[in-house]
Amino acid sequence: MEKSAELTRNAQLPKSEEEIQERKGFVVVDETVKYRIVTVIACILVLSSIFFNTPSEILAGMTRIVVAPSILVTDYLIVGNVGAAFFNSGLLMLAAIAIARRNEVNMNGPVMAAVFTIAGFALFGKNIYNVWAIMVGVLLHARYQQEKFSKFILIAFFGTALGPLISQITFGLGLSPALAFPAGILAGIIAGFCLPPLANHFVKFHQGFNLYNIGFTAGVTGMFFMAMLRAFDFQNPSTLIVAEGYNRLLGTYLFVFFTGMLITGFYFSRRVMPGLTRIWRQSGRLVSDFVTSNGFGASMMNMALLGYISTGYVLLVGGQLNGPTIGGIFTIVGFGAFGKHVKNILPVLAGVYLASLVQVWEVNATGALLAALFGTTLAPIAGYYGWGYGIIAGFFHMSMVMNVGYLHGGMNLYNNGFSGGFVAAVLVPIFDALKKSS
Amino acid sequence: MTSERMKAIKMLEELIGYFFRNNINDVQMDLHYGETECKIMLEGTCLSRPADLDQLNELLNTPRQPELEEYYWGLLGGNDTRQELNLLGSLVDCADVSYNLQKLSITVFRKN
Repeated sequence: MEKSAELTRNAQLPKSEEEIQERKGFVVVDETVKYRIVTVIACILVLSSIFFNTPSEILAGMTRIVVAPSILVTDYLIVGNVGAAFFNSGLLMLAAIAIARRNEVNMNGPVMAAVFTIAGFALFGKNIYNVWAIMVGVLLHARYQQEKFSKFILIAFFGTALGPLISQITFGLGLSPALAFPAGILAGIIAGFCLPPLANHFVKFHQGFNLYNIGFTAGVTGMFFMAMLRAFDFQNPSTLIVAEGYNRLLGTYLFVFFTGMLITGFYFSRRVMPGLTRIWRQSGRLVSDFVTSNGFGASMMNMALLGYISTGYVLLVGGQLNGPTIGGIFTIVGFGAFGKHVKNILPVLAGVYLASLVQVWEVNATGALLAALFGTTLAPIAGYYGWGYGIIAGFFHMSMVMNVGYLHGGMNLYNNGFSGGFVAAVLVPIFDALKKSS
Repeated sequence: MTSERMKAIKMLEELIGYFFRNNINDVQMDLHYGETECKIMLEGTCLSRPADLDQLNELLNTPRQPELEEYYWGLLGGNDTRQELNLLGSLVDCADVSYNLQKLSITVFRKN
């Protein structure tokens, strides 16, 4: 982007790359290198699939995944198999990276969060059939506005949370294929077209304290579609398909995966602790792009640390590593570049854990685990107001998230983002008032 | 009104908020919305140099991030307790920030 002529006079700005790095205090990593690293991560996901299953098993599993209705909670490790789920995950992550690169978008914090979130949810709801209609809808909106698609790319990526809307209409309502395919795809395109103005509108509702803003937006959109379906006597069945018994295998896999990220981050960090502590000092409230403000290396290390913590939480409370929980872990890791860090997620995790001790849900049940992992969407509350407020937010989130899934019939994969929007919208004005009076 | 003009209003709001938070209550403002560029200038008397002025200068001169615009620009402005300087920085192409003789002057430029 060209600078204005007047600003070439700005003598305060450093000139050379070294001066910029000295001033910023971190290594500025070239975009090409960042893209290569994230592409390698996606390729690892794709290639690791053959360690779990043979190519023919993966192909058969992918076929079953594509035709699954995919509403919450559908674990692709069960529907397909472990290899197929990871293959699907890596493939969608690669596609997202390619789209971002083609649209000349920098691999910054929000884009990293988006591609990791896509990879995570491709283990339990997003697949190579159900994401495209949403993206096409957003693309059509960009064309309609005569704007570049790059301005809407985050909405397109995160908006794939509504993938099950397409899959459920296509494969889950018992419609004839001649009607089901066009109806499902059309619903996805309409939803995608509507998402951009809604996303911008709803972000004000929670004032940037709910990191999964599209989760709230998609929740409202999904609620609207579900209401229409119910009006025509279509119901979504309550679904809970989750894998068990993979803790040792997948725990080892994730440990190696995050260690690789930690080493990569360390390699690109000029000074390790100052970079991390700078991240930890931030509230994480939207918009906190750690890659731009604190460097790629420190962000990658923060992401890896969050991976250890979230995996550790699942294992410590006796939970199961499966598609949904690993999806949650990948999403936390992704948002380690865009709002989440060690200090602001722990209070929310503690709040959800405390809630599960006194409320009716078991701490290691799938729903409670997802509430804990994805509840970290409220991490900015802990980062901004303090750890006590974060615990309160986590506590309320647990109750709220168990109540809102019915509204969209499981068609919004970011159910916790939907719930988090309500929790933040209610708590933030109250916390503001308390802070002001104190 | 186009969303581009709304963004200009929001950017101005955010900058006014910055001046108010630094106890500058007498602010001169100039907004020029041209065909190719939007330029917003604010100036006011500030008794001491704002502690975060260098950081602000850096934020406003980081490369523009178009991918954040349509998703988050609604967060700009309109809040008396929170700043959105990161977001503001991602919406402007460049800025001129100066503090001389107790005069704080900020000019931001955004290509339309």
